[in-house]
Amino acid sequence: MIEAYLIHLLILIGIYLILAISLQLALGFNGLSNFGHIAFFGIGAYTSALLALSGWSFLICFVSAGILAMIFGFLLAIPTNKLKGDYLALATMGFSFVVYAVLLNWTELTRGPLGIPGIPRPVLLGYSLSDNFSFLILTAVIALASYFVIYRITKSPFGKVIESIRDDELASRILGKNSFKTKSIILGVSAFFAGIAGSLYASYITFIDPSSFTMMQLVPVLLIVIVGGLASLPGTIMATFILMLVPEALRFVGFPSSIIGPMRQILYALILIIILIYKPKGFYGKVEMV
Amino acid sequence: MKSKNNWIIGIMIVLIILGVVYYYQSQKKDESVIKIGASLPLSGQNAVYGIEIQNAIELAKDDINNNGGINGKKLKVIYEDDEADTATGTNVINKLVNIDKVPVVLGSWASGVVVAEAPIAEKNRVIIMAVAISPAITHAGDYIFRIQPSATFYTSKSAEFLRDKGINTSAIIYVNNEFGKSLKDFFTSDFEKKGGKVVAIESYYEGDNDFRAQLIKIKEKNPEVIFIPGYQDTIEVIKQIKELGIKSLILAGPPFESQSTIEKLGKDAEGILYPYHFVAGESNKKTQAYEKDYLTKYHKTTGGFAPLMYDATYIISDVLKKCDKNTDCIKNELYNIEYKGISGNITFDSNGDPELPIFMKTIKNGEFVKY
Repeated sequence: MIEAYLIHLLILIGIYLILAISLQLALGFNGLSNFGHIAFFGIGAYTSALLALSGWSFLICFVSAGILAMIFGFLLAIPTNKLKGDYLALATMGFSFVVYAVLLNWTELTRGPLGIPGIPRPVLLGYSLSDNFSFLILTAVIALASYFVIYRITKSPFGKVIESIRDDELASRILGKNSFKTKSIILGVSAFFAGIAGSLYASYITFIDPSSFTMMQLVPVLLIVIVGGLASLPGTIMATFILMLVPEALRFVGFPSSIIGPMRQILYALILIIILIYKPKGFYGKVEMV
Repeated sequence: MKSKNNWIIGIMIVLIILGVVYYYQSQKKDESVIKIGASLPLSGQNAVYGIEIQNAIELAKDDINNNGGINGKKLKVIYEDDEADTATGTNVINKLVNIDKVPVVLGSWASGVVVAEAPIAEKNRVIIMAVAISPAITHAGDYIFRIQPSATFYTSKSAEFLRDKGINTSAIIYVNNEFGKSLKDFFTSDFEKKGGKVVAIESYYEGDNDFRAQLIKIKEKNPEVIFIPGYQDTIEVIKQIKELGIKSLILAGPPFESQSTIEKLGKDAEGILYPYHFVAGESNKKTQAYEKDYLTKYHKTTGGFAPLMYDATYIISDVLKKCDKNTDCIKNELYNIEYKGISGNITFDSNGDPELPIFMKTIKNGEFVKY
């Protein structure tokens, strides 16, 4: 049943798509090198999982996951307001280490390194989404809605302000734009979408542990954003599909069993390098990496 | 702009065609082979364990196929790399279950991956035979078995042994991940249940290499024994214990037994205790033959996970002989099996955990020996 396998991959693509376009909003459009994005994903996943296990309905888990992540997004915006480029990257990376350490050590709440197994699948309007096909529909609807919202934000007049801050913060402040407020909103909105992606992830995989929310897990998302091209939403979609499907397609190449692990990684890396040599700005990138 | 993307789309199409061709190839009913899957960390920092386990499976598989296979059919193992990552693990199990349609999946080695794979295997009635230590796997499902004893077996044996020796106080320095933390928790409760006292608990992160701050705190409490549940980092902890002149006994975790330990520690390794499920060179001819075969084929001595998976591969081949691909039959047979393997007499309890004897071992004259 090749369908079951494809449905599974499409669900993961949907979840990563939400994660990637929300990072695209902060990194590509607003120029915030937010390496703490994976922490919002983790906060969302844990919030949703813990609420679901204490009996709350999926809708409440889902929304609270987004809102709690958003609150942390606003909080992160305060101390990092004046940081730019590499410094912002380091500070937000620090944030993701803090969140990881809390997930790992607050054992009473998160069960620490043991992780949380048995997270229930969503039940919507009395209809249980325990089979993967209905979960795929849910993921697709949420991914499309997220895409639409972020698309509208970037096309609005506010979207122009966001991009102007990326290109020249001082100039846009001279024109009377409040850059702190704008950056906080963007960080909050992007954290909200990472949070709901986390909620979907937790209820789909049904098991989470802190190791799923480390810097290493951010790398594929960051790759999607860069390969897709900064400040390009269609590019992000294309890159999500390619970067999620290529490693899986490489499972079918049929390497000799003794080199199957390293060969897959080497080929995958090679494909990425070739893409970036020929398309240094990514597929549809409009701006250079800061 | 778009034309420049053509070659990328070209590559995608080629890959998709390859996939489809492979899919139809694999759909051809090949009656002369029986396929099982294996989900292991074959790349990344844990690949060293994944490859060791893969070697053992290959060794057992070749033996089985040279001796008539499964009722005349060849056993074939499809390896997939799960990178010890939960999301990748779910990709692997979905592929093995839905595309290769295997009745049995060997692995994984990472406990988190097994817990994430379990619901999918359970739903599709596919057997998982893991080699992971977390107690969470005990209740992961009916179709979920493992060949590695749960962490609790190791700690209760250690606690009992220490109390019998009249040791009253213990300190723990553990690696803060699922593995280290479960061993720490179980050791604490086992040791205190038997009347001992844990006087200090310290932790470190994977990849740390300076443990002096934690060790000095432990030194102040002057425990009779220090328990170190960790992986390869245990070696560095022990070096620093010796450097700080701490005289306590040292109790290491199960992964302590590997060739690099003795090479790197030299005479500091002498007298270190650890609980283990396998005594090399002992008991039966089968064990010795296995060790010799492993050395000849891979030019290194076997680690601790390999003998377990070697036995598991034989156990699976035995039940496949009786059940072919009927997984309900395989499941029932596994609960009733009694297998004399190289790591001891193996049976499974009603949770799918192995009932293997655990020994206390130590290092004497540069060799791993039973205490």
